[in-house]
Amino acid sequence: MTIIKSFSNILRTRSISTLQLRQRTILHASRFYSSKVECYISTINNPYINLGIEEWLLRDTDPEKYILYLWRNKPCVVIGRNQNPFLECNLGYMQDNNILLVRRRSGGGAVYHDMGNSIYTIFMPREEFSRKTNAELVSRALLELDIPAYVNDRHDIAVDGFKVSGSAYKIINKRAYHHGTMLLDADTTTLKGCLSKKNKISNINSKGVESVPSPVTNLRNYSYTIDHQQFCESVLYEFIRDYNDGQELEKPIVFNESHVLPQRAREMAEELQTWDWIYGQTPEFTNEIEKEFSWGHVNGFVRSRHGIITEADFSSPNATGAHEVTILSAISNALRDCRYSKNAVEAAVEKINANVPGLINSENEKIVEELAQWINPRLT
Amino acid sequence: MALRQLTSRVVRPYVPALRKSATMAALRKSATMAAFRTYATKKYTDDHEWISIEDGVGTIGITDYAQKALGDVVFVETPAVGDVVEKKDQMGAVESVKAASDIYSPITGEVVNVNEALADEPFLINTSPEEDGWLAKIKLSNPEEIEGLMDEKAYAELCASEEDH
Repeated sequence: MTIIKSFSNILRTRSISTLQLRQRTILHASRFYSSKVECYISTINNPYINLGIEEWLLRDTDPEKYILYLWRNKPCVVIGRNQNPFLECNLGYMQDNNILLVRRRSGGGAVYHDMGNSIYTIFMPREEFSRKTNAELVSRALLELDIPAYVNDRHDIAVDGFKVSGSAYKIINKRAYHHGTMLLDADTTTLKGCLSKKNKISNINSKGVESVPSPVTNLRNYSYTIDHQQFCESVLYEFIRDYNDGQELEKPIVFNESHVLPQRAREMAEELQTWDWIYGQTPEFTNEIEKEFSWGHVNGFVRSRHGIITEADFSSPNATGAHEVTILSAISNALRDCRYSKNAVEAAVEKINANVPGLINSENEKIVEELAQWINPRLT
Repeated sequence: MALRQLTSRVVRPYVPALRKSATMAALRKSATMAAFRTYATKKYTDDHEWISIEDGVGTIGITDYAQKALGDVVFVETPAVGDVVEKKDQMGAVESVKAASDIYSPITGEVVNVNEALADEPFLINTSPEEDGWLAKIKLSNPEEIEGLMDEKAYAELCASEEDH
């Protein structure tokens, strides 16, 4: 069974591609031998599960093997290991549009994924690690599809001056991987909605890693026919040419919804969904906001570590009313140890009502309301 | 024991006759500096970590060879004080412009100190990987584990063989 036929079955598409003809001219192995390369495909669209499978491939498969893993996700934003989601993403927009937030294990910046974005991961022995080699491999795969791709000096793959693929890397003791996205036909409006900082006023000062924004384009603008199947076939062709001397592979191994996943994959998928991982791994940062109210000018300062507010100071240099001063002080104190989020003030108010009942009452709740309406959206 | 170490460093400051490189210069420098600064033992792992042991506490970091391979460091994850790590356990990670790399503990023990300066200045790992860019200090629970680690000479040979690769 040729690779193409198995792909067609897996990805459920119909027509014969010109690649089939090229594939048949590859040396036909007279015998199958246990090759040093493998290919895995996931037809599951859950980003947490796909990353779980990636982690399993990294840690529990033979470190001497070169492995190609191909996958796609439903709409989500994936941030790098040490990034600040409050700074990098428009969390409100994402929540309104049911877009998941995912923190991956490799470094780098924030990217938007949807079904028009294909993802490849190449695993190699640690000594073979190189940023350029595999970017060039994928770039050649695109050239074979008549798309004028090249690798730029940030090791991104670009077409016509626009970025079409971003990469990130991870190294452990015996193994390394290079994974990257490929924008085939992604929804760029939603992408900008999630990631664009143009309309975002933010005074967040973060110790984490910041994204480097680049203008992007879809491959669709350069090819009417490209799709996930074609992309995968072409990358696999270059992959076996480079790492398996062109010898045909055994069938790619597929993970789909009906599979029981390896234990490590399941455990990792669970861990990636926890608050402790997604938000709790946020490096230390501060945020400063200010506003003029009818009763005074308020300056706010919040410091957060591991997603929890460690310091909060809301004060006014000129407010004189007893209520205003009391509330500002109470909220500042109560915010400490609350989770940093757009519901932080609600959590603080609950704390105040529990510990000091009556402090917030009908006379001053209006001030609390005003402060909450101002603070909550400005935090994220 | 200490006197033997001191004389071995002063009388025979070992420098293998290899290609001149900054790696060797750094190793040579740290070898001679160590002799006159302290009697601490410095050992290396094949994951390119160094450990300098004094009074049962090991200071750990990554080597100059490793920081070169990594590129500019942008973020460092250190363990927490009080964490107990086993030899070869992951005890932190370094993110550089090139990759996110896990760091492993060369020994078993309890973390007693962490380099807070790295939070604000992760590039210390690039500028001073074997001194100011230390990652953590661990109290050894099994001092015999040090015997299994490489000394400077063996580590220099490892680096040379990897460079030829």
